[in-house]
Amino acid sequence: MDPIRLKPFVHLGAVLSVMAVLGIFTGTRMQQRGEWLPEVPNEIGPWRAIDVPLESTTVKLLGAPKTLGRQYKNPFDEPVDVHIISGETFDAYHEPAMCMSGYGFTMTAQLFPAVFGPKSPARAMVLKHEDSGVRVLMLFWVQYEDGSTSGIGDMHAYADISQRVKVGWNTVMNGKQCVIVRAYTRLPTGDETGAQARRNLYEVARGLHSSIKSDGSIWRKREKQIARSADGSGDNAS
Amino acid sequence: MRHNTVAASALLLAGFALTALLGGCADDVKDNGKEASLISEKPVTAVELPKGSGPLWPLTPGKTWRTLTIRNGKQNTNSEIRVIGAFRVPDGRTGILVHSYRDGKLFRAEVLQTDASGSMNLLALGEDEKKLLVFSPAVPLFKAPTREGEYLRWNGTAQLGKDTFPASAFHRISGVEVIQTPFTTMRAYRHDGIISLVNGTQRIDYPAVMWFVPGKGIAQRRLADRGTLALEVITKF
Repeated sequence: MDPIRLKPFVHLGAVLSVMAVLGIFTGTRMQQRGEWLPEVPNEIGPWRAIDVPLESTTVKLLGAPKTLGRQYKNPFDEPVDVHIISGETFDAYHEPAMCMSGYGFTMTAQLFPAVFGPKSPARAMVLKHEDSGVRVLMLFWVQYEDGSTSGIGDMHAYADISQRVKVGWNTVMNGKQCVIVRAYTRLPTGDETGAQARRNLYEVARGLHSSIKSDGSIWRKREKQIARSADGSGDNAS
Repeated sequence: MRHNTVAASALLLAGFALTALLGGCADDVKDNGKEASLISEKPVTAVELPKGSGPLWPLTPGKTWRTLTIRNGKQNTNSEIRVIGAFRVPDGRTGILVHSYRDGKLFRAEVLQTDASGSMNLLALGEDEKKLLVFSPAVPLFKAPTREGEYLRWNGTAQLGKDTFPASAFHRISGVEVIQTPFTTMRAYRHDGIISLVNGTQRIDYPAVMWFVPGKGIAQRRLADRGTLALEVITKF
């Protein structure tokens, strides 16, 4: 075989090897960044929570990350459901609109409001069940341990390379723990404006954001203490 | 050849980087979708408010709201809500007594406290003024000015004769709704409420939904009537 003819393949091989190493590095880094699954409160104002774990098929679809499922209800029994998912796999960022499409829902609205303050957005969606007309209002965001958020856009699993690269880049480069949060509620029939359901959703989402942020600061302190203990400075401090 | 491959690889990587950086641009969806107002806290079209001004429930002694009571499986009956006047509960606190009648028979008595702003508290509730649950402190029903979505939580006690029960309450102005009575159509503020008493291990709930037109008072009310819902609709303000 002519070595000159093999040369492009050598380069291609090198590029593929670099990508493979990057992939392994990204995966490992992602796992490290997804160790955190925050505790969330049993009560948010008038809302009380019960545990409603995610279905095993859903967890599997998300790449088997750590998850927490809760349903908050107010004294009128109006529910807001919440999923908290550790960001340890690419699949954990699974497009919720795509998950729901399996159940006959289509997305009829999407925006990125600053729900948690300036530059702290979530992705807000309306999902409509075509047969029954039932609508689901959903807020979807990635929250980092310092409280900052990202209202991550459409990510149709493997089809959307740009979002995957963006998620990977953020996870690997910013070095912060993160979780993915989905909060959603069903729009009661007859509620044409959706005003109360929307208020309920935003109230629970803000309460969650605040408690996850508090848990994040505890996590960071603990991590620093562990790091100090590891390099021996913790012994000096005590 | 070597330079070409390096350049191609660089271009590929640059492409990935650019895609990653510009990936966020897709987030700026110009057309948010036809149902964006359902999920936006800043809806494009403002909600049309109920017509009228003044307190949500003006309690002038002698004032009467004539209503029709509609219940599933029962014949519609004439009903009435009437402001009686000042009333003192056994512990000395005072309020305004309001009676509710169905087919001419008294079935509900309330003692309400109101102030100049139009805020309202419920001091006592019962079948008549001899069998009143007296709340300490008074249960806040709504505040003025009216704000959609505002809710009021309360924890206290309810006293019936010599018995005292721990109690809690939750009231909320849920929004503006268009209500249709057999006689008219109007916009009104929907007010949801629940008072819960704990008697040993048993919890007793008193839910109520009321619709108010400012300055005019109750346009519609839905109460639990021995396990079935009774809807009272105004016949004429």
